[in-house]
Amino acid sequence: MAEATRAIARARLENGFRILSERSGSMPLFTALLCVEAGSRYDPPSRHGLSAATAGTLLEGAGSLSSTELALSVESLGAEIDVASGYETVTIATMGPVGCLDDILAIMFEIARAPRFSRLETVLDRQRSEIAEERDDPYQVCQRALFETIYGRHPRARSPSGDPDGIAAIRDADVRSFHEQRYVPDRCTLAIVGDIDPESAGGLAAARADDWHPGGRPLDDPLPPRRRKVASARLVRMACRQTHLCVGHLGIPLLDSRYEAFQVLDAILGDCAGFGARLAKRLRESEGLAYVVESDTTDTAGLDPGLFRAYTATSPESVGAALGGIREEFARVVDEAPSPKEVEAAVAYLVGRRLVENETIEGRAARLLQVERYGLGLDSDDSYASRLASIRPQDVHAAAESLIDLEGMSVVAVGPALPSLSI
Amino acid sequence: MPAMTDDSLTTVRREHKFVRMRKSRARQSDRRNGRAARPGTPGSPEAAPFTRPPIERTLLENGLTLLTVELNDHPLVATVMLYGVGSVDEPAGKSGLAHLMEHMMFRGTREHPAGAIDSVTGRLGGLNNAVTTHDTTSYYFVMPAAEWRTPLALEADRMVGCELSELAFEAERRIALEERGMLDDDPEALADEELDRIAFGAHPYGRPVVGEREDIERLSVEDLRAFYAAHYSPSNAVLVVCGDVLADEVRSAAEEYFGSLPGEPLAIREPMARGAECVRNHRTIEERHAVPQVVMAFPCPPAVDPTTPALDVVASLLASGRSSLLYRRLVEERDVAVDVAAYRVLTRHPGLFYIAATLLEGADPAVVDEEVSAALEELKSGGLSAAELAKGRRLVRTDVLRARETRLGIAGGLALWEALAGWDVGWAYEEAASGAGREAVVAAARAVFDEEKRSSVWLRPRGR
Repeated sequence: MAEATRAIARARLENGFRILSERSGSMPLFTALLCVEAGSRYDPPSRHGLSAATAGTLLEGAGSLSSTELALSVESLGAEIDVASGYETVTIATMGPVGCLDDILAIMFEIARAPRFSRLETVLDRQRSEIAEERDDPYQVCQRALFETIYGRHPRARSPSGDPDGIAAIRDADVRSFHEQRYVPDRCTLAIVGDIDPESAGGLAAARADDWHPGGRPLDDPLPPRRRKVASARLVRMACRQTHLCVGHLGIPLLDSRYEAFQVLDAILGDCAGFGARLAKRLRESEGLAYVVESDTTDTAGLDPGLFRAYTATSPESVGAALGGIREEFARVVDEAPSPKEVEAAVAYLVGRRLVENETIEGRAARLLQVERYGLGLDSDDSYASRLASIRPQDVHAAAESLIDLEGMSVVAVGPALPSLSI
Repeated sequence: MPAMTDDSLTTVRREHKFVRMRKSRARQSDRRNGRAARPGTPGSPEAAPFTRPPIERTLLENGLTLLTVELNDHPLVATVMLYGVGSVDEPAGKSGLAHLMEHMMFRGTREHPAGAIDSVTGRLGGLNNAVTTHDTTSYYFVMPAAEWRTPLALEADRMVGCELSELAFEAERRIALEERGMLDDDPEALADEELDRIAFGAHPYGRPVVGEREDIERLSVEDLRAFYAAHYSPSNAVLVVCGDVLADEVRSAAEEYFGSLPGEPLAIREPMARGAECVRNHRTIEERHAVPQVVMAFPCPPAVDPTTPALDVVASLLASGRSSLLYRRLVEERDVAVDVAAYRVLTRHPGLFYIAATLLEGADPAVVDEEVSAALEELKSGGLSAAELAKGRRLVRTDVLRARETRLGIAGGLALWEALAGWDVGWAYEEAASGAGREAVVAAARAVFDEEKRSSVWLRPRGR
């Protein structure tokens, strides 16, 4: 059974501000996600963490409201507001009872347009703590080390939270300047989803945005990351019980023409229902080496190429067996096309997963933002199943063959002992 | 919503939660209506009423309870098969048994050999997983609605036909030990597990659901076979089917798949020892982690106690959002924490109300103790404004609606409440929670927050 075609209202204001709204969900709730192209991708070289610091100040007071007044005015309505800071974007996210949509939009725009930049030192302390927390977690240490190894000096190598030196250099003037340049209507997309009338909700948002002056300066995109053709190994000693392993190399951007073939490959190799993907079947279900094992090519793909990678955590004595298994499964998808049955199952899984993602208003709003930001077309969900159904085993094989370089893998191990690494 | 996300890190540790709460892997472990549009017109912030979808309860002759929920605005169906067995039912020295049994339920039957459940699920465009808690073990599927019969067939097959071979057991035990290793490396889980140990003492709720390493190593396939025989039967199970289905058709199919299964009488449970320890208790753990954590707990009544819905409002007032009592004190005013949480877990027996804080690097955990005590006194004194109380109720209401946003959320909640006291009690509970008045809230706070019964764990960096 397919989803009904959705009615989505879309508007682009004269100042470049984009609004998408859609009626969805079965509860009397709405969510509004305001997405600003102001993530850590745009951090200046000597100020790693500036994007997160700017985002961190947004809830510390805006317009006439102090931090506490702002929180009270939202939460008293039974609504929530938060700010999430990532690599490409910063998202101001709200959710609440549908009757307070206009009140919440008013506060959301106040936060985006007129923050007070209060309590910067406290915000920076929190960022330092977040970095320390990341460094406490062997999983995150392992993932970050793989990004650093593969992206080198490219901004994608760094945590969106920044680094201690960058944070130490951030001043009030930096935050104000970053906000002035980045938080402009032509770099914003707003998605409103819930028990709403799309046209009316879009109109409410437009009324809040249409007097916002555009920035006018072009985005300074980083140079594309360069792919290294040599294998590398990095070992990080940490007093933990398991050894965490990441293996991979540079992947594809989201707009790569093979993107959906790679989604099918991901479902076959590393991320399917339960533990039905090849890597999980082998390393977990057959060999009992790990609780978690997975791989993906598309999860981190965006404006810049993401990673083709696999991750697992295992006992130190099982590192060799785990790496050997990953290598063999990588080789298998390069050497031979998957069976038609595998591709058919992967396609069914992906179509079903999209249905699940579209079940919540948050999931639906996030999808609308992705569709708009990458120019995928508002009808892209309607044709998703038929596009996937046209992908053949040889397409998946060709995608794997064209990307996966078995001799150019980077391996990172984080654990209590330092194993000999080779893949 | 996360305060800070790194979109370069994927959700490797995916977990389903039937209720939104602080991640607490120590206490649960997974195997991995027509409406008028209200386009934001200014008006009352009260959430509009949500019409309950049709829910029907059927008791099969063999004791299986079936709940069907017709919800046809999205072409999905969720099924939850909940067994009234959890880690509390493990014999002493055999912790991890219930959780290992949950893993084994995916290891196959004669009809569906190892791997078949996952491959069938994927091929039909579905998802599956399972969750073990202290009280229950739940298996779930989310499927395109047209495939709703398949989960029923799979559940019926493995309810009686799970193949518990020595070989599969050994493989699954290795996986469970790796899961144990993952929790050992997680500071939050470390603190949570230790808190349950000191707060519950000898009570089975004190055991980690995943199990203690030495217990998992000692388990045998015979232990597993005995556990399966004692607890996996229709009379100890609740099946919920929620989504774009017709109740009549689901009932017929349930009779077809489950009706012939033998209804074993339920094992008589040993009476529980006392609940949480009724004395003040504290433990400091010094570990490699740089970021300190403080977790604390107070004994609280079981889920079915009529006074407990107000505790959800108490939790909201304490830690929901940046205007909450604890956030203001710990994050805004004293600058010692980056995040706070307050929640209780719905339990069959008396359980705990938890408060947790992640501190700034170098912050003193003692400050958290002081500020929590002051905030709890503020609540108990009854001095909160009417606006503050209304805010707490509205946030609880929004949480209830969010939990009912997905078919799985509804099915999971109904299954749990049916096992505890009846689904309708749970539905009414959620409504009551968002309507709790001042007297109920203050009375609940006074009943629970007794400083002489507080257990706490500080996790702080070694050598500092």
